[in-house]
Amino acid sequence: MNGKKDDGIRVSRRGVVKGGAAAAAVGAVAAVPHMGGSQHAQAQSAEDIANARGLTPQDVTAALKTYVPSGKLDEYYIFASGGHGGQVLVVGVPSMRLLKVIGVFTPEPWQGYGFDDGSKALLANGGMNGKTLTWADTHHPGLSETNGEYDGQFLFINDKAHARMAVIDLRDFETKQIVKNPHIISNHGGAFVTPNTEYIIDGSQYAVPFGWEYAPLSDYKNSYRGAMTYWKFDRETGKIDPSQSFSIEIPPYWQDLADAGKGPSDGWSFSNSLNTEMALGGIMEGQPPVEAGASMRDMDYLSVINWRKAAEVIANGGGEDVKGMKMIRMADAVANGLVYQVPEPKSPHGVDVTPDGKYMVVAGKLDPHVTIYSFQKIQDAIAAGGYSTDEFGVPVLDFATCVEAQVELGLGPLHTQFDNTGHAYTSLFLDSAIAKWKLGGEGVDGGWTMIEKIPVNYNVGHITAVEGDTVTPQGNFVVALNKWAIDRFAPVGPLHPQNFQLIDITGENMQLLYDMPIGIGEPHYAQTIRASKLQPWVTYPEMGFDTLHMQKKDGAPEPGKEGVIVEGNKVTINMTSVRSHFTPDNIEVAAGSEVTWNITNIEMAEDATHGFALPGQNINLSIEPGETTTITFTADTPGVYPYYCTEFCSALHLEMMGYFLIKP
Amino acid sequence: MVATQHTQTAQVARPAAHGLSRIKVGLDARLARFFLQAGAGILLIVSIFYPYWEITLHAPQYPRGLFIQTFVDKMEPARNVFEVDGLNHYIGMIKLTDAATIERAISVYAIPAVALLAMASFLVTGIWRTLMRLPVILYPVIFVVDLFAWLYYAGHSLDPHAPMSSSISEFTPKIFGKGTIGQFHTEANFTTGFYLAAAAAVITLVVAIWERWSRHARPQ
Repeated sequence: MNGKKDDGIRVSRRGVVKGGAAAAAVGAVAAVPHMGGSQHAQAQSAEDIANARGLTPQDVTAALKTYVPSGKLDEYYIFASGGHGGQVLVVGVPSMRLLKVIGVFTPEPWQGYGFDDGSKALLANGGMNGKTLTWADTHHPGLSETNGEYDGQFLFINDKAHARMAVIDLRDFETKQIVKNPHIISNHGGAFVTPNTEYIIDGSQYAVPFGWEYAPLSDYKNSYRGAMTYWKFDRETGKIDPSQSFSIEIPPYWQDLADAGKGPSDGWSFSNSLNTEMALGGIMEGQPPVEAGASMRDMDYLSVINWRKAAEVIANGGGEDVKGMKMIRMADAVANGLVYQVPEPKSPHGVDVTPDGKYMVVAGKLDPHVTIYSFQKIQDAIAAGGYSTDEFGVPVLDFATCVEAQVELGLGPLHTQFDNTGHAYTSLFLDSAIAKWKLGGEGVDGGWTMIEKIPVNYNVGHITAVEGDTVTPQGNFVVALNKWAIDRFAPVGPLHPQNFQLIDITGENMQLLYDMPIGIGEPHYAQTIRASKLQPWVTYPEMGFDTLHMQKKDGAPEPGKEGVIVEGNKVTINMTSVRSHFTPDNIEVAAGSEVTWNITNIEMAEDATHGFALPGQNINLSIEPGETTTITFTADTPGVYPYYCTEFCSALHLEMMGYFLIKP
Repeated sequence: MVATQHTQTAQVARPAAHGLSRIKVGLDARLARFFLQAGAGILLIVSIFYPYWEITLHAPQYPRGLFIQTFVDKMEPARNVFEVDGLNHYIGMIKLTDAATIERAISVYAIPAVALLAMASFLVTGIWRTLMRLPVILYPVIFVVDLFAWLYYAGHSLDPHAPMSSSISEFTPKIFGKGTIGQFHTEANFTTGFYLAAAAAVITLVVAIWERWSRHARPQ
C-alpha cells in the first residue's frame, strides 16, 4: 500500500506484517536444532538440564509442584503481614510469586496511598496524640469469616506498636479504615475474627493504664491493666463501628495471641498470656531484665472469655464509657462470668482452636510441649465451681481438670495450624523445624502423638496452612514463616530478608518445595485462602467511583463537564484522564489560592490506570479505571509546575502532561 | 360456479414447480403470498434488534479480544466503542460514532417503513407493486454497500498528523473474514440481524416471482 507521507521513516502496513512474519520464520528455524523430534528427545533434554544444574530428582519434583506457567494463575493467595513495613503482602501459591504490596499504615506512592485527600484522612483517623503515624508494626492478618470459613470479603490487620486495627476491602485490595484503640497502646492478640465476623478480637500486650495515662511503674498492679477489645464489624458499610465495640478489663498480664471458638465453642474466645509474674525490669536498679523476670513462673494463664455474653451485657446497658469507648470493668466481668483463667505452661505463645472447635492448642515457647485444653472440660470446671482466684479476683480453674493432653514436640513451640487429615503442624523456633502431630479426641486411634519433624531455614515463627484456622482446612501446603534467612539467598548486605518456605504436606513425608525471600518487612503471620473465594474487581464498576466510600460520587468530574471554577480565593479543578491526555491540560491559578483538584479516570479497560505527579506539592496519585480522587492544597509558591501521568499507560504516555502555573 | 371455476383452473397446464402445484391458486395463493410478505416484514423489523455485523480485534494487549457489534442504529458494547475510539485516535481515524450517523438515525424509522411498504404493495398493481417491494429486496445489498463505503472512508480519511501516521498507511478494514490493522488482527462476520434482513429480502423476491408465475399461469 502506498502511504501519502514522504518525510522521515515510514513503515507501510504490509511492511510491518511482512517484517513480523519474517521474524517469526527466523525464530522458528532457529528453534529447530534445540527441539527433539520426539517425546523421548524432549525428556532427555529436561534431564540434561537437571544434571547440568546439579538438581536432584527431589528438586525436580519440587520445581514441578511450584512452577506456574505464564498465563496460568495460582490456586491460593497468602495474605501476609508486612511486619513493621506497615503493609500487607499478597503472595500466590504454589508459585510463591509476590502479587501485590497493599499500603495499610504506611504511605505508598505507587498506589498513591497517603497522598490523596481520602487516604490522608484515613491515616489521620488512625493517628494518636494528634499525630498522623506513617508506620506500623503489623502482625496478624485476619480474613473475614462466615460460618467459620473464609468468605474472601475483608481482611483485618493490627498494629502492635500503637494498638490499631485496619480494614482492607478485598474487592479492590485497598485499605478503607484505621481505628485507634482508645484503651490500650500495644496489641498483639489481633486481628482474630469470630466465626461470622461479628467482632474482631484485639488483645493488649504491654500493659499501661487505660488511655496510656501517666502512672509510675511502682503503681503497676493498681493502675496498669490489660484489655480484650472486641471491635464490632459492620459488613454493610465495610467498616468497624467503635460505638458498638467494647473492651473487657483484665489483669495486666501480657496477652499474646487469641483465637475465637467455633462450633461447640462458638461464643467464647481464648487468649494466652505471659508475664503473669508482672516483671518490669529495672536493670539499673539491680532488677533482672524483663526477659528473665517474665520467664520465672512455671505457669501463666490462658484467658477464656465469653464474648457473646459480654455483648449481651453491653446491649443491656452494662459497661461504662472509658476514653470514649465502652468497657466492662473487671469486677463486673467476673460477676457476670465473662472471664476465666486456666494455667498454661511457662510463657506460652499462641492459642489455636481445632477445626472442630473442641480443643484449644497452646504452644509452650519456653516449654517443649503443646498443651491441649478441652472446651468441654473447661465448661464443666466452670459449672462445678470451687475454683481459686488470682490476686485480681479473676477465677483460675484447675490445670489438670481442663487439660486434655500434652504432646512433647521440641524446643520453642510457637504456633499451630491444622489440615484436613486430622493433623496439626506446630512451629518450633529453637529447633528451627515444623512438627507434624496427630490430633486426638473421641474415636481417634493414636491421637496426641508426634508424627514427623521437618527442618526449616531458619527460626520459624508463625506458619500458615491453607484455610488452616477455619472449620474447613484444605490441606496440601504449609508455609513456614521463618525469621532468619542467614545463608539461603544471594547476599544483600547486613539487613537480611525473611524466608517463606513452602512445604508440601500431602505425601508420606513433608517435602520442602521453595524458598521465597521477603525483602520488605518482617511478616509475622499469614493466612492462606483459596483463590476461587475472591472476586476482586478488575475495574471500578461505575465512572466517578469514590474508592474510600465504595460508591459513585455525586459531582465527580466526567467527560464533557471538565473545567476550572474560580470563586474568590478558591479554585476547583474538575479533570478527566484518558489515554493519553488530561482535560483540561494547562491550568493557571493565582498564588495563595486554595486549590481543590478532582480527577476521574474515565477509562473502562482493564489495567488502564493513570498516575498523576505534581511537583512541589509532594503528590503522586494512582487513579484506576472509573476511580475519582481529590487533592487539596494551597498554591503557595509561584512558579511553573509541569504535572504528568506516572503510570505507563500508552504509546504516548510521555506526552500525557500539562502545565500547572501559580501566578504571583 | 365457484367450484367449477376451481376445477377449471386446476386443470389448466401450469409450469411445474415444487409444491406449488399442490397449493390452491387464486385467493388462497394470494393470501399465502401476503402472509409470506408479512412474515418477511416481521423478520425485517425484528432484525433491528439483532446485530448485523461484528468485528473482533485481536492484539497482545487484549487477550480476550475487542469486539464491536453493529446494529442498524448503534454500536455495542459502549465500553468497547470507547476503547476502539481511543485506539483510533492514535492513527487519526474518525470515531465510530461519527460513522453512518444519518443511516443510523433514520434506520429505526426507515426499516419498518420499508417493511410496511412491501406489505402494502398488495394494495396496488402494476409497476408500483414491484417498486414498493424493491426496497426490501435491495436493502441487504444497500447495507453491505453502505458498510463497505464507510469502512473505505474510515480507512482513507486518516489524519496525516496523527501520532501513528508513520506506522499505518491507508487501508480498508476487511468487511468479511480476517484482516490486519497495525498490531491488530481483525475478524469480521455478518450476524443474525443481517441474515434476518437477507431472509426478508429473499422471501419478498420469492413472493414476487411466485406472483409473476401464477399471473402467467392464470387464464386472462
